[in-house]
Amino acid sequence: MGRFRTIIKRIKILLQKATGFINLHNTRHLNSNKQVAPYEKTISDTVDKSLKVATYENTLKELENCFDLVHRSFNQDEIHIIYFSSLVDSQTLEWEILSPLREMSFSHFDKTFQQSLFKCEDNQEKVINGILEGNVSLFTGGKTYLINVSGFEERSISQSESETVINGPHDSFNEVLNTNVSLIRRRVRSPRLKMIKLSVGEISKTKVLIIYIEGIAHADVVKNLKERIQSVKIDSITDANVLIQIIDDHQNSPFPQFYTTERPDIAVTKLYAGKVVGLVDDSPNIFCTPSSFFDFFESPDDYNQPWILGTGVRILRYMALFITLILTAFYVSICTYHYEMIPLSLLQSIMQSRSRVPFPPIVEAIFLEIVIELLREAGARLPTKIGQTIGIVGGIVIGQAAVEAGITSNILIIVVAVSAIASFIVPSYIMSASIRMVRFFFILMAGLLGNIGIFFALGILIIHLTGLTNLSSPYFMPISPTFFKDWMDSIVRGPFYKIRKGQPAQSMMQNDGEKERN
Amino acid sequence: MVKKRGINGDHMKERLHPLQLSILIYTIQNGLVLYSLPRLVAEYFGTNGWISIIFIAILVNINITMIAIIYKLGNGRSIFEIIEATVPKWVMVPFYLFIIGVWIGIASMIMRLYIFIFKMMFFPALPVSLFIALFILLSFQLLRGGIYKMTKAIVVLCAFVQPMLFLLFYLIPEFDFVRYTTFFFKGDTDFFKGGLQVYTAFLGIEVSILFFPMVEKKWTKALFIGNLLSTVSYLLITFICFGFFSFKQILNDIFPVMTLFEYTEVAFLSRAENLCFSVFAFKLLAIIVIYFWGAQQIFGNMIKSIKPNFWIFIILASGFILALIPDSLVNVEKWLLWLSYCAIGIAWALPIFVLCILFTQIIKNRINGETEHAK
Repeated sequence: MGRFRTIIKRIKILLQKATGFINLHNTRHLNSNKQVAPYEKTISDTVDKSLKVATYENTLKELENCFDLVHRSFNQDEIHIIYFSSLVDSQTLEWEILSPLREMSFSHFDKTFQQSLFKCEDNQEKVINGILEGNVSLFTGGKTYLINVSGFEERSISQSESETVINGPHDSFNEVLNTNVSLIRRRVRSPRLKMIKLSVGEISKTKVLIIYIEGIAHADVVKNLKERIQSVKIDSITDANVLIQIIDDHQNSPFPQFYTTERPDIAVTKLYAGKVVGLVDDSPNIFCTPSSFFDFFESPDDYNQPWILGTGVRILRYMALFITLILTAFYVSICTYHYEMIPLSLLQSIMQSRSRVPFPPIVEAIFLEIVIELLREAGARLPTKIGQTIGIVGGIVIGQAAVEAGITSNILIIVVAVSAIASFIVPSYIMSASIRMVRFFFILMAGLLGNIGIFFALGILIIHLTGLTNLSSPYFMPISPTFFKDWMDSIVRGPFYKIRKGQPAQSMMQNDGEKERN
Repeated sequence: MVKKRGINGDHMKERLHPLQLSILIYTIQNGLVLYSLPRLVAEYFGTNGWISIIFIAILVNINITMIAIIYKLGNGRSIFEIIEATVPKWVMVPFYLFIIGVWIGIASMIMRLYIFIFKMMFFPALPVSLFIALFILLSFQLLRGGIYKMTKAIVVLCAFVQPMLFLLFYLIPEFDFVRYTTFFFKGDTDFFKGGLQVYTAFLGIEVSILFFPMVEKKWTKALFIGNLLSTVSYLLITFICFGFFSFKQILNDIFPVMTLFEYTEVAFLSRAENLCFSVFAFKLLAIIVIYFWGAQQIFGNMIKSIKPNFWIFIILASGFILALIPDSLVNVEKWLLWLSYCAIGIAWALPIFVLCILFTQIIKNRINGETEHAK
C-alpha cells in the first residue's frame, strides 16, 4: 500500500512540475523569512540579474512594449517620469506632479522630495513593482523617487446578488481591496483590528490581507493561515475562491471548507467571533477561518429578527438539507424495492401515476434531476430576463409535457421540484451546489440497494464530513466533537442572553480539537 | 498517506473526551442481539425475563470496574506496556493472535448475520458481496482516520440510530400490563446459557481496554455511563415487548423487536421496521469497526515497524473473506455464538491477567523500594 502511494505521489509531483502548477502548500517551511523572498521576484530577474540600481534606461527597457506606459521628460531631460496611464489617477497626477514640473516650481529639489509623498528608492525591482502598483517613478540626478498617485476605475458598492437579506445592511464588498478594508474598518472602531499584508502569485502579485482582532482571534490560527498563504506557489490567482481551494486541508472534498461571503456585516461578525478573515485584491469575496459545516447554513437574517423566528428558519434549512439529499433517493428506493412501505391509501395514486411510465424509477429520477440542473445552470448564465423565460419554459412546459407524454410520473415531478427548491434554501451558493452534486450519489445508491443504499451513502457522507478539517480545526463542530454550549449559536439561533459570551470553541481550536480540552 | 495531526503530528497524543466516549461505548455495545433479546430472555429466564438484564448488567459493571482499576493502577500506561514489562513479547504472541482472530471473526460474522437477516426480511435479491464490500469500504474510511476521527463519526452516526427508540412511544397505546405475570423466572429456564447469550449484547466494551493512551484522565466514568445507557435501552425495549406481546408470542418470534416496529405507521409511511433495520447498520458498523480497530492496535503493537495502513489492509481483507464463507443463517449464528463465548472469555481473562501482572509489579516495586517511575 505504502509503496503504491509513494509511486502515485511521485507521479503527481512530476505532473505538477510538468504543468508548472506547483502547489506546495503542504510543505511548510519553518523559516518564513526565506519564504517571502521568492515573491519579491519580478520579471527583471529573468532579464538581467545584475540590474540592481534603478536607472531610467533600465526601467524603460524592462517596461518596453507596454501600450499604456507613459514616459515624459522635463527641464531639458534632467527629470524623467515613468508611469502607467491606466493605473494612475489623472487629476492627482496633474496636481501633484505634472504642473509643478512644468512650472518648475520645485525650487529646492531635496527639500521637496523629503515629503512623505515622495519615496526614495534605489532598487530596480522595487521601482518596477512600484510602477506596477500605480506609482509614478521620477528620475533625477541619479536618484529615483516613487510617488503614489494610484487611482483606477472601480465598481461602486452595491447590493450583493448572491447573498440577499431582507432586513439588515445591504452593502457588499467590491473588487478593490482598499474599499473592502474601509467597509470593515468603519464597522470595527478599534485599534486592535490588525492586518497582515501578503502577496500571492509570481506574476499576478495579488495582494492578500489577513484581518483579525488582536486578543480575540487565536494567534495560532493567524500564524497557521499566514504560513499557508505564504507557501502557495502559483503564477496567478484571480479570486478568493481560487486561493481557498489551494490552501484547503482536503482538496479532494466536494464541500467548501472556508466560509466565503460578499457581505461586510458577516465578515465583521466573524471577526468578533474570534475568526480570521482573508481578503484578496480584485475579489469581492472574503474568506473566514476556522469555519464549520454549520456556518454555511447561517444568514444575517437569522439575527435580525426575533430568536424564535431565527431558530425556526434555521431548523427549516436543516430540514431542507435532508430533503435535498434524501427525498428523490427515497422515492427511487421505495418505488423500486420497498412498495410495502407505502400506506395503502397513497399506494393507489403512486401506482396510477407510475403506470404509464415505461422506465424504472432510477432512470426517471436521474433524467428529471439532470433536466432541473440544466435549467438551473442555464438560468445562472443567462441575463435575468431570459432566465425567467427559461424558468417558465422548463418548469411548466417541460414538466407538464413530460407527464403527459408518459416519460415521468406526476409524483416524481413534485418530489424533484421540492428537493430542488429545498436545495436553494441553503444560503451559501457553493454549499448548495455541493449538496446538489452529492444528491446524485444518493439517488444512485438508492437505485442500487434501496433503503440500505441510502443509509450507506449517508454513512459515507457523515464519515467524510466528520473527518474534514478547516485549518486543522474540526469541520463538524460543534456537533462532533460536541460542545453543547455552542449549539445555541450554530445549530439553533438562541436568544442573545443565552448565546455564550466570548468566542465559540472552534475559534480557539487548533490541532483538531484535543488541545483545548486537555 | 494519512495526514498526521495532533501534538507534533502524533496521532497517539489525541485524547478522547468522556462525552464522546460514553456515546462510543453505548454505540459499540448494541449488537444485533438487541433484535432477538426479548426472545432470549424469555427463553432462558422464563416469565418476567427482562429483569435478568439488570443482573447481567451488574456483571458487565464488574468487568468494567476491572478495566477502570487497571487504568488507575497502571497510571495510564497502555496494557501492552504493562504486560511487556513482565512477560516477554514472544510469549504473548499466540494470545495476541488468538484475540485478533476472535475479534476479526466476530466482526465479520456480525456483518454477515446482518446481511442474512436483511436478505431474508426485506431484500431477497441483495448482492451479498457488494454489501460486504460496502461495509468494508465504510470500515476502511473510518479506520484510516484513527480512533479520534472514528469517534467523531460514530457520534454523529449514533444520532441517526437513536430516534428509533422514540418509535417505542408510538406503541404505548397497544401496551398492556395484563400481559405481565406476578411469577418471576418460571418456565423452561437455563440461567447459565441464557446469561452467556444475554451477555453478548453487552460485548464490544472489552475493546476499551486498549483506549488507555488515547483518553483524558477521569475517562472511566464514560464506561459506566455508556453501559448504563445500553442497559436502560435494553430494559426499555424488553419491558415494552413483554407488555406488547404475550409470553408465548415472544417465545415463537425469532426477532420480536422487528415485529414490534412493524406495527408503526404514519400517514405517508408504514412498516418502519425496514428503515429501523437499515439505520441499524450504523450501529453495526461501529461495533465492526471497533473490533477491527482493536485487532489493528494489537497487530501494531506486535510489529511496530510496519505502517498502520498495511494492518488495516490485512484486517479488512481477512474480514471480507471470512464474511463470504458462511452459507446459511444457522451457520452464521452458530459461529457467532462460539466466537461470542470466546470474546466473553477474553473480556474477563484479559483484565484479570493484566491485573495479576500489575499486582506482581506493585509488590515487586514495594519490596525493592522503587517508585513507579523506576524502570
